[in-house]
Amino acid sequence: MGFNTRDALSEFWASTISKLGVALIILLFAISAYVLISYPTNFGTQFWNRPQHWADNPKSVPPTWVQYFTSVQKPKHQILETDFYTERNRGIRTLEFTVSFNYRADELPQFTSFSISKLTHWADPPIIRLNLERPDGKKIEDLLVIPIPYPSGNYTPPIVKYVESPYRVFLPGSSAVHNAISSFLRKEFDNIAVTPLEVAASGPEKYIFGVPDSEGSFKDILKGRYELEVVVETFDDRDTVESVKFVVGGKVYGFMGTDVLGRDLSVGLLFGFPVALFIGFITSTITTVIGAVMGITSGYMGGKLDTLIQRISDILNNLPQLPILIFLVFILGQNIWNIIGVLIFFGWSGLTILIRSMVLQAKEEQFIEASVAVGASSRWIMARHIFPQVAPFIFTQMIFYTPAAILAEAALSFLGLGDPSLPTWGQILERGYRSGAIFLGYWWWIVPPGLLIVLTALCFVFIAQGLEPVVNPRLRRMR
Amino acid sequence: MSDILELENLRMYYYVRQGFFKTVPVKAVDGVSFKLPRGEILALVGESGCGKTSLGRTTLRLLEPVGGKLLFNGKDITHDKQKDLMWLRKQAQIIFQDPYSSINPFMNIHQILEEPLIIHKVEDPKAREEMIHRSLEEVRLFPVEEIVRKYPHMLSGGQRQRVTFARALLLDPIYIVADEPVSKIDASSRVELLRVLSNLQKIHNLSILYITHDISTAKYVSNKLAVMYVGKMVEKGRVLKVTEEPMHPYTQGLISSVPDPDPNNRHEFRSVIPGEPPNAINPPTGCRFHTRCSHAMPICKEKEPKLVEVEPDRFTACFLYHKESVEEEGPGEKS
Amino acid sequence: MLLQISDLYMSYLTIRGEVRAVDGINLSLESGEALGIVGESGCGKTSLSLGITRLLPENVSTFKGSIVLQGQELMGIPRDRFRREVNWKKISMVFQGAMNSLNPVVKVGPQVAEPLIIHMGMKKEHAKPKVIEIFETVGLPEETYDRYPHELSGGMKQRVVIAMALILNPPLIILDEPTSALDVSIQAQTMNLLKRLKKERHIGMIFITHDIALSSDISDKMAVMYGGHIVEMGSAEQVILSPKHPYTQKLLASTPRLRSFSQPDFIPGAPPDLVNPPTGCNFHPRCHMAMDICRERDPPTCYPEEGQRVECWLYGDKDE
Repeated sequence: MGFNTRDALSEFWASTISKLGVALIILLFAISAYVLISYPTNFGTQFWNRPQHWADNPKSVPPTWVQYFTSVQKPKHQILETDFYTERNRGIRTLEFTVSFNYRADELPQFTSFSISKLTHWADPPIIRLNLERPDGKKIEDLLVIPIPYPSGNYTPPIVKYVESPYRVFLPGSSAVHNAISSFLRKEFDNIAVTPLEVAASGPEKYIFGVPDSEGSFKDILKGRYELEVVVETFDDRDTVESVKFVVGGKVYGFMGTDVLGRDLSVGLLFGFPVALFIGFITSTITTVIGAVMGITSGYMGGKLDTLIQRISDILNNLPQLPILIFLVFILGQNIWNIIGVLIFFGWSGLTILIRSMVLQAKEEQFIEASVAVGASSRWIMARHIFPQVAPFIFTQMIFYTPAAILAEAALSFLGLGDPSLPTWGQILERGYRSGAIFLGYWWWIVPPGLLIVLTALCFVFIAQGLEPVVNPRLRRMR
Repeated sequence: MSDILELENLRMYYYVRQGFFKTVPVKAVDGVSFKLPRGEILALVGESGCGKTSLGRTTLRLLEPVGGKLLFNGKDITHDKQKDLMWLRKQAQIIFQDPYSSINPFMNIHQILEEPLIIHKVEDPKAREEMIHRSLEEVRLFPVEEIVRKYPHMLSGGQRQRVTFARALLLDPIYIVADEPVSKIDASSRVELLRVLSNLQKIHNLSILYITHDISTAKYVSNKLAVMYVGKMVEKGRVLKVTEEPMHPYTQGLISSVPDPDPNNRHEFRSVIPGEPPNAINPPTGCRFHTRCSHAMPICKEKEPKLVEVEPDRFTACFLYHKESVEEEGPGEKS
Repeated sequence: MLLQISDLYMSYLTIRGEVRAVDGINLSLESGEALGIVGESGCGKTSLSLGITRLLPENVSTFKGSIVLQGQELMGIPRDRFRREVNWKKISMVFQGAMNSLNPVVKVGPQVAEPLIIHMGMKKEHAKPKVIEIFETVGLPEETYDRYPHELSGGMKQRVVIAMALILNPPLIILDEPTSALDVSIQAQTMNLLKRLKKERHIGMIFITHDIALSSDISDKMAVMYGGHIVEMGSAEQVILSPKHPYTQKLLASTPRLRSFSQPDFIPGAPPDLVNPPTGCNFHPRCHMAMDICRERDPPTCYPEEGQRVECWLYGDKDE
């Protein structure tokens, strides 16, 4: 008899499972704390869901560390950016940027793209030319020529453009590039006649980064140093460009790879930690509090109040949770607070029924009668005598319910009913599933979020498992 | 000065379900009348189902009577509502049978003893502490400073029971119901505890209702003894008189059923009361004991005998002693 | 000699350590004789009964000694064979609260018939008359056979349990607090029944109780247990009328008596911790006659009278 915290803790600590659970929970909290400090709260709407933010990333590529498991060197993602230019004046005033990079991969890059940021012009808009010098000395002149469009409507100089979002050209999609490559090949490689359409079909990178073999097919990669020259032809001495960027799309990226929009999955998955914990804890705490209060009141007070609460909780408890969840979220809107609200609304009844039966037994204890005989009010007895007896059980239930809430939210997200402004693991899973990641073999998109959901749920289960002998003395070990 | 307790034909029934739709009354206390003056200890003896426990709790209004009258210190509390009885909760206390379950195992002794004081608005913590210490000293639980910090499982059964005594004393009551206070205590410690109770009674001039099934302990604590059978009081008088010269056949049978330590016991068959006690849902007609009584007469089957003073301060409900008195339906019944 | 127990030791392993519940017990019993074991909670009397009937709990650590029943040594018999050959047939037991462990969904008749069917291989039809016969012996009417436990009163249930213990006619019955849950008038009826059974069937009984007055109602011999030891044993006359051990004396003095008025005594303190028993004599911390030697050395077994045995330095030779 007697609930001794010291004994309880040593009992809890005795099993390895508890230690594992606690270790995992500490890890979860640490990661969540880090995320809360370093990420903005509107991460979801401001970054995750804006494709422009991820425009320069390769799409649907695995993490960089898969390199250790393959012999083939996949191209790493290179973003080359510079704001340094040389001003030249040879009839036309030009601003010349140069970036260079080394290419060492055994495969072609996924794509190449070029963007320009913050352009200011006073007269006619500038023209931008790209020249690429290959490691074999051959130079692709006018690889890309961009005439900056004239501003529409009435305007007063100076025109400042591409401040929020840069002007971006995706090389594989540009017919100008296809033509330029076709000409280049004809000029530099005598026998190679490749039409612009063929360039478009196989992608310009094949020829930019490739060397023909004896039969004229571009199977081999030209490794070495590449230099890109960006020439901005301006028509006013005051015209400026802040920075230019050339992206060589890698086939691996980041710690966890990317999804179909190029989003860095490690960033999204990290954000999921505090979100999962938040959903889990808020839901389980409020559900537990309501369930416990209802259960204690119902069990102790008895009478009509008891019957009322019992009937309500019976009904709520027997409703099929997932269909109702789907239905209500669909009606009320896909908002995380609605989801939490619905989970709480249908979650408290189970605990009430359990607590009520414990209270029915507890209130038969003689010390309860003793307190009544001394003049204690019902409220006093419920708080001082009944609650401490059921408190350990309530606490364990709270811990058990946390993963249930996390899983419920993941399930809803997977069904497409999650809150789209908040990237959760369930959401990431759902996106992956819908984008066909399973069929396309994009395991890095599917496995990590699923694994994280399971591991998070497991660590709470471990802790609850470790707590059980403490709460239920019959399960204690005889040492 | 008025009596602490005055019961007039008090009845207390509780209801149990029989089958799916019927509830039947269990006539736990079925017309009991007596007076308990200030400073008197009355032992209430009987077997299971006789109603002694229910009677004890009814005198504290932990149960509500269904008929008759209950007066506490002159005031009619028969049907008062619980919220109007807070004053009674100070003046009347109860000590329970089981020292293992009558105090909260999750609270330490200080908290357990503080509870009644907080409920009755003793605001100053220092005053509370002093009252707690004094109580523990009175029941001789030493050293007090150590005891208050302990939890119930750290104390022996006898010590725990002293804690319940201490709790009963805190609010300076004038009436205590002691419901089998030593039944669950080791035999060798029983008498010690009863002596503590007896001393406390002398110091505070308490009125005590000592409920027990062990008639042998009665004379060590009480001055009067009353015997109950199936909801009725069948005999009452000074304790030594009743145990040495029992009048009611049931009392006689009860006393002959109880052995004292005596090596000759094994050679003799004890004279016992035949049969089983009847249940309180359907008690026998007339005198409830007639079905098991070797002195039963025809009138015993038809009419209920009333508890009548047959000698000074000696009451019995048996037609062997008073042929005329018959149980009547009293006033003030709840329909 | 029906039963002879020599040097019986039994300990359990608990979280706090080894509990020496039975610490060197010697006793003997003749057929038709009742031995009363008297002791308070924690003295080891229940452990003793479990040891004799081989109903050992899982955490038992030591179990050694000699138990000879009708000339046969029981200690060496493996558990299965014990269960088949000794339980119910040679020794049967009536536990504390046994009446509440009757199967509530089976009629009592068939429950009492079970030992006949299981141990003797009897068919149900043959068993029924035997059950009715035994019911008659214990004073239960024939129709009790078809009753369910909840239909019977406490006293009747206790008779059912006693009937079950008698059905295979064992020479020895062990009863552990058989009447503690019963009302006093029913207790008296039950004791009368036991007296009759002892006389008519010549059964040996071990009657375990904390109530020395109750023990005197049946016991021919009495053994007083304290802290795992039998501190005093003798005839009922010897133990009650001239108790030798201070514990026995105090126990008798603290028993409330209905028929005589004596200022009752009590024993201060609490029973000993069987994990760490006191040095020397177990009882010395509470003994009003304790001497220095009691603290230091275990008391010897002394025979102050013919047939009376006591473990106490008051009667021993200190130079032993």
